[in-house]
Amino acid sequence: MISVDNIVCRYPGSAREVVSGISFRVDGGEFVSLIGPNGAGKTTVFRILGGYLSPSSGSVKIKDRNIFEMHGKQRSALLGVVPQNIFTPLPYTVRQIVEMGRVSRLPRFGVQSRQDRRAVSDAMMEMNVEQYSGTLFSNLSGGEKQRVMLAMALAQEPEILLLDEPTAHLDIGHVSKLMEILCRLNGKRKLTIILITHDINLSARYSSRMILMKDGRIMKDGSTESVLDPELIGAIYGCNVRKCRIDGGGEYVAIL
Amino acid sequence: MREMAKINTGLLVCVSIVFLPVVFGICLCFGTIFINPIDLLNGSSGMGVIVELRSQRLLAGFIVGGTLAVSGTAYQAVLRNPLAEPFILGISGGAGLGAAISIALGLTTISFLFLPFVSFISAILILSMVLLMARGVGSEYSNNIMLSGVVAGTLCSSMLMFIISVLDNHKLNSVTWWMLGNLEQGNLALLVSAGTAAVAGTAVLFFYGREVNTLTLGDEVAFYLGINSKMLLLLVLGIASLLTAAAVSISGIIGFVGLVVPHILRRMFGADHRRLFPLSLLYGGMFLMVCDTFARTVMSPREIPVGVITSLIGGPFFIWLLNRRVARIGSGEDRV
Repeated sequence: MISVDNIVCRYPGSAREVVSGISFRVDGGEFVSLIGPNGAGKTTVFRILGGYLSPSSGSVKIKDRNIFEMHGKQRSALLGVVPQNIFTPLPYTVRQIVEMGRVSRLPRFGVQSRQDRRAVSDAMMEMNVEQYSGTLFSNLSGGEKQRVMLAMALAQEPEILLLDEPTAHLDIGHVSKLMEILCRLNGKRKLTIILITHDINLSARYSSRMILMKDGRIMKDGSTESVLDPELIGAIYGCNVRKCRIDGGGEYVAIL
Repeated sequence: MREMAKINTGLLVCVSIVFLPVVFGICLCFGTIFINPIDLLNGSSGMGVIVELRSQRLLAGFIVGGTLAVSGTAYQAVLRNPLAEPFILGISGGAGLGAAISIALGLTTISFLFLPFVSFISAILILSMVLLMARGVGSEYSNNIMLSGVVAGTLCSSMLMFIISVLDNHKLNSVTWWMLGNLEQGNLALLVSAGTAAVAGTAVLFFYGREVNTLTLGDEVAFYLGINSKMLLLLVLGIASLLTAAAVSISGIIGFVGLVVPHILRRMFGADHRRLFPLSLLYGGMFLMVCDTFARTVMSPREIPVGVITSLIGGPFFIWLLNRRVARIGSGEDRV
């Protein structure tokens, strides 16, 4: 579904490669986590995958079409993207924010069609934010805002969800609820999910595949079991870790 | 107030258009000499010349107020800063400097269109300077834009002083008269050009209203929603600067209209830019017509420059908004 081929990225005026020759493929219905320490180049890869940042070389294709040559409307129908730290200084209600997810599909002068209204309502129901419909977005808590942003991405009715650190600044209760929602979307709606996070244990708990990055390169790409190698994780993050087992299945790493 | 945000946009604009002749008529009656509204309606006031002069002045007020309010709405949306407006960002100062240069060089004697044209070029240059000087991300960038705007405004003001200091008496008189900021615009052709720019610019912004809404989430988010955000950003900033230049060409520098009007409208009718742009044109225009009527009536037969009235309203309003914004950022609002 998504194929990333040998992308290299340098920022203007800098010879340093932020991303150096990254290649991977994500199939439809996969739940993939892109993990790595701070400065690994995760957010740069996120922006390239979203089509916002053009790489110095290499290609990104979704369904065999180059993302950088796609029209915005086509791109947004395939890819729902939720970046970090979204805010608006203006007083929009929650419903207005979610409706923005349909912006590229609406006619210039027309009103929303029945399908548009249904997509918005379904997304709000899915994210359990319909009770905040008329509430100002700025009056919500961090966890609620994150759910609204996800609802906005879902209103696009995309096939792929790309999320950058969606659990940052959330308490464990909100983290757990958000991740359960993502799992449900991945399982029930067969949405392909690519999650950028620095939380190894969170990605190990919920995703089926992990891509470990450091210094702009992929160090390991495989199942959660294979990536949760204490030696590898210790070397990448520069600390001693130990792999532990959870009763009833699953593994996590603990710092020694 | 929240209920008013649910009213249909078309109905809202139509009702507002009905207000316009009412406000115009009331303002027409007031001035050094009071004109009885009944005589005015009957056409028997016997003050045809005064009515004509006042009408032209009110028309200038409507165009200037409307364009400044629309450009303020646009700057606040795309720069994601509720304190942004042409005067505070230094854009009005830039346009004013351009206008002063065109008067000083005698370009206005060749064609009246040189005044708005040079003002526009100068406004765009100052806007580019402000955007280049401001660095940072999120609210840091937003604050830096304001600081850069203050610096740019001060720079323009200094250059204007320099121009004044080297002008001969005749041109000095023209520039000073224009700098005072008043709506006594005798050039009908300039008024018609600026009015056309105001309506056309507002129509284009209305056309892109939905997309402008997404830009308030940041150009990156707008891009992910399928918008060509960089092109849209340039288009909106360009139109806002053109409108500012049109306003400054008519009246000189009048501050705070672009701050006060959009804020009141957003509180009353919500933040959807498909309704904010046309409403800003209408209510911004009416606001300045009322301010100007007050300015020429309150100390009659003396006249206060209308910019003094808008600053007296806008200054405290700006402080109130600034305090509110600091309190919101301090409490962690507006952040995910």
